[in-house]
Amino acid sequence: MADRQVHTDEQGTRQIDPEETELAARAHAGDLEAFGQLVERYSGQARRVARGVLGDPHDGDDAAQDAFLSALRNLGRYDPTRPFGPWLMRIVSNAAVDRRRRNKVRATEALSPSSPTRAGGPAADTDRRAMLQALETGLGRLPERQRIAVTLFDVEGYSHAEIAEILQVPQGTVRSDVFHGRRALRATLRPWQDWKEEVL
Amino acid sequence: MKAASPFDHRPDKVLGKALRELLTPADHQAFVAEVVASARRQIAGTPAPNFWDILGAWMGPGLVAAAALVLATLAGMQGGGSVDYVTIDDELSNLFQTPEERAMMFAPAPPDADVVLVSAYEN
Repeated sequence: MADRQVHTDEQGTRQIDPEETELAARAHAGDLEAFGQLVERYSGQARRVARGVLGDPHDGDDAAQDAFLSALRNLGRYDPTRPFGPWLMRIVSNAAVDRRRRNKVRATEALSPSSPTRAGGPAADTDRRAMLQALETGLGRLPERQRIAVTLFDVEGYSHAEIAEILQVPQGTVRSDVFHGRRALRATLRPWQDWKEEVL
Repeated sequence: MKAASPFDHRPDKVLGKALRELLTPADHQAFVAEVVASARRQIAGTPAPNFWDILGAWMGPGLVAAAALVLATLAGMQGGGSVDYVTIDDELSNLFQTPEERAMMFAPAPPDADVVLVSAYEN
């Protein structure tokens, strides 16, 4: 997997990576190898964020791909004095939200996690899948912005300030979105409260 | 999982791990290769701007400015037609009461003294 260690300050805000700035400049000049390295670094994040919004892996990949190509076209607008990741994630979240609005609303049937049973051996894998499916359903029920905020915060490690910049909303709104999104997802996972850490 | 607080600035590791497992797709390298291939097609399919494109882009504002200039000129001409211009000849003509006086004033050569005396006598 391409996820890399990112350098952050005390507030968890990303620092500028000179290597990325150089890659972006080369990609802007038409160097596809440099562009490929940026895709390699960020495809994990981009696909997860897009899938978090869209709920479907294929739609998510399409949106992530659209976002990368859009980023390539618009690299001239990237400010090299700021970190590349939040700039790209803004494009990704916009692409995913646009695609979601274009798509038909998919009816998601909730999986009832009301009576999970603890089991060892092969059953544990079934339980794990059931828990992840419940989590997916819970994520699908969140408002769009909460999905993005929770994914960026708890999965990708972006700070509130960075997410505020990505979503173009105040930091207080991001805190609220993360808080409410987490609370709903934790409630979804509550039936697995006693053993989810072990399953995961 | 930790107790929920909107002021918690730390990621929830357990929830994050579960979401990461849920959302992380497989075939990472295939995705990267597909995006790069699409980028190659995008670059190849984008025609380089040629001279006429650039000229066309420049001509747009130029045509607007020229049209504005023509309209302003026409408006000025149309507005100017309603103004009554008074010439110096008109002003001088108004000073004289008879055609003879006016003729004397605009004659190319000075009149004879007799003519002037007759005119003064008649008035």
